Amino acid sequence: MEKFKKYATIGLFLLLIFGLLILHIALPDQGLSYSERRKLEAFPKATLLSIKDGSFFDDLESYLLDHFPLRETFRGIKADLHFDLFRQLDKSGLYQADGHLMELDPVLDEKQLALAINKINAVISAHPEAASYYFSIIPDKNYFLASKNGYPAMDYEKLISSAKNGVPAAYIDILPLLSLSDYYNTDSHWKQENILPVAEKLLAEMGNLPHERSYTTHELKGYFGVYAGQAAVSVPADTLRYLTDEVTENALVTSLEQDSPLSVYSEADFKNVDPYDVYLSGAEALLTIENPLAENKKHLILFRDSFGSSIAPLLMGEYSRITVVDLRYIRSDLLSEYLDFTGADVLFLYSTGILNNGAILK
Amino acid sequence: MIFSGITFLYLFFPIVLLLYAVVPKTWKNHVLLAASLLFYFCGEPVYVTLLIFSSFSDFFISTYIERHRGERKAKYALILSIIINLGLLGFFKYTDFLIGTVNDILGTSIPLVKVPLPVGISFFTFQTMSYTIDVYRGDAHAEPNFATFATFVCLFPQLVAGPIVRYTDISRELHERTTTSDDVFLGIRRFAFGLGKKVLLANALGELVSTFRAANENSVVFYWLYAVAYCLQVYFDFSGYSDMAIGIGRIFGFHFPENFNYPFISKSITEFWRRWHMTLGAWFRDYLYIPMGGNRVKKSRWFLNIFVVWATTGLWHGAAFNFILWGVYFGILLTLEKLFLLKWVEKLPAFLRHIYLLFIVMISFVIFNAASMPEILTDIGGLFGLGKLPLISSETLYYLRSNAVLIILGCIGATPLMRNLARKLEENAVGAKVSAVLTPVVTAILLIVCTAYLVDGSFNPFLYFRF
Repeated sequence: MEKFKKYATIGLFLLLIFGLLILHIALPDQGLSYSERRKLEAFPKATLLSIKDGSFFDDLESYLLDHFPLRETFRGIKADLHFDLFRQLDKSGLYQADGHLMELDPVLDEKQLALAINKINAVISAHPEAASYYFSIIPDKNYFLASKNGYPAMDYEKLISSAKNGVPAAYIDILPLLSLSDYYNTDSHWKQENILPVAEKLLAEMGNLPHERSYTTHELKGYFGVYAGQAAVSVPADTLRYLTDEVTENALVTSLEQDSPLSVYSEADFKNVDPYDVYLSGAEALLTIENPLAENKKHLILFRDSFGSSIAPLLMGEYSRITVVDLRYIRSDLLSEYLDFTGADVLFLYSTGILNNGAILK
Repeated sequence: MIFSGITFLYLFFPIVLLLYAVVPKTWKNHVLLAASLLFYFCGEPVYVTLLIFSSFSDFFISTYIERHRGERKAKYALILSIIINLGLLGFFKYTDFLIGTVNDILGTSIPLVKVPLPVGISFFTFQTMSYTIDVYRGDAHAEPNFATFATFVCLFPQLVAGPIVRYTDISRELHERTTTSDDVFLGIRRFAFGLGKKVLLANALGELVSTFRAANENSVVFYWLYAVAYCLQVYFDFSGYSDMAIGIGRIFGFHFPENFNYPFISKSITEFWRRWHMTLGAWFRDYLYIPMGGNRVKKSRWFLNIFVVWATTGLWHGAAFNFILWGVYFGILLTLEKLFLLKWVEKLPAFLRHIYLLFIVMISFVIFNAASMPEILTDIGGLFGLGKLPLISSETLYYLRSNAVLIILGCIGATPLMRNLARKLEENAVGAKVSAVLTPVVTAILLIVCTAYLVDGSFNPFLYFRF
């Protein structure tokens, strides 16, 4: 038995290190990691400088890590051990509770919040020609999930009251209309099919009369949100749904950054690194949605983050034009060049995560 | 390059193993030397010249000493070697510390030289210095073959973070060694367990330490959690590296000295230092403490000897006052133990002696890890609730719950419990059969699991590299 122990140990060890080396060489490199939503490192270029300053060897390690054979399997092994053997409650800030994956964000950063408030106020004071200003806050999933399950959570009350008091706009409280089930299990975002009451409340508070829209629901199965890939845990996929009606189907969407027109929904984008791009093609600095079926000439300017992509189509019925602005990608002092605020309703709709990272707004 | 990196595990190591296995016996040292230089070059492309210079310098000086043994010239050559080695260490490691101290005291503004610290310089200069001293003392013959000597100096398993291997430890193996299947088996097992200590325990504990440092709400309990986590991190980080080094050395047929022997089971500081970083302790004993007269001198001189040795031990760990304080702290406690404290402590029940030792060691590592002298006061004050800290906070409770299993596993892993259980298992025939199956399986699983942690993780520092 001693011989078996010895040779089996040596054999297995050599099999692993040589086997994985050979697999590494044999398998083709991938360009993207869909699960982690990032580009993978390419083989580093060896230059005299990169070798001299050691960056070549650092990059080589990153390359080998990114293209390691069976990488996703290994990531899954780590996640299982991390949560099941070591019983750690989060993995690099990601945690599982009530069937949801979420990222810890336990610290209210008052400096960042002040930056966000200042940025919003700068827009308001630069454009007095707008008809009305509105402000609403979307709670992230931690609001419903963290404290209840023993995870540290930021002081949401403080964040909301500070933001509410700091922004001179009519505050629309949508918190009572939301619950955990309105968010995807594997992603940070809310579900479009669940936020109709939120859209109705926003429209009503902005002075619009109730207007029934009859939607058709479309399903895209196998949606793994941002946290599924990051956490590398086995979880059931979500189903991404989007709602269409004659308004969305006839809408004309143009982007400041794209030459050709876009559409309200793009199923092709479900295959993107971020499938949430289905809604208004994802991250865009400035979009204009024209509604030719509108019975008025009202204009809504929606300052938003990614949550806004899925709610904007639900606000379209009451406006002939919605301009969707993402201040993460366009400087607020450049807005006058592309956008006329005259007579427009302006809604700042931001998630708590963005307000707590105010420096991200330009 | 580090042992717990993918580049080492799945590129460098298998290729070196293959080359080492296929070349004739006479070439094996050359393969190891080339591999070692490449290993160091990957981490320190420029400073590899320093390593080569250090090898040349001590090779020629030692040859000269041997040729002039007994003459005054030999003594001068030894002094030259010590000046060169300490000069290199002093310049690269302590220049800015010295300039900063002078600036602070005299209010001057002498610019810092800001020379990056070559990885492992504290280890390889001590190794080469001990070799030359051994040759001067006649404890070793000067190595006639430069390649063999350079293989000793640069040998990658122990090059950058120890154990501090002396020439006399492996001189026979440098010339004539056979690697048996037993060596390979034991080396692989040791390496895998060291890798597990480093990747599964030390890195996870390190993340807890980083979390503590970044925490918003501290509490007394969080300070203690930090102190425990950091003690365990340092232990698993450094002893894990030593295990890997000893294991790799064994695979190539070298028998390196042990560096750790379950230090946290000690019942006194004296015992702790017989079990912690043993090769460094032995180095200071043989090359500083005893040459200064050890304890066979007047009491006042003996105190001075202890103070110098421990201040130097602290300074070896880093160019900052907290390291000197850490060394002196141990020096004072060891002196007190030698004078009377140990007699008192020995009368206590065993569990109280453990608590005494763990308390002293935890405080020491809080000093060790402080970024500045004021931070030492803050951290030690935090342990005792100074600064109106709450006893516990919700954040502390969360991290306590989240890391409870890790801390428990760490505490168990820091004792010989698992080793003793494994030995017990092998005592009877059935247990031996179980062990025969478990050993390869556990070794392979450890490698797979560590690989999984490396592939998915980004937190992988080696604490002792900065020394």
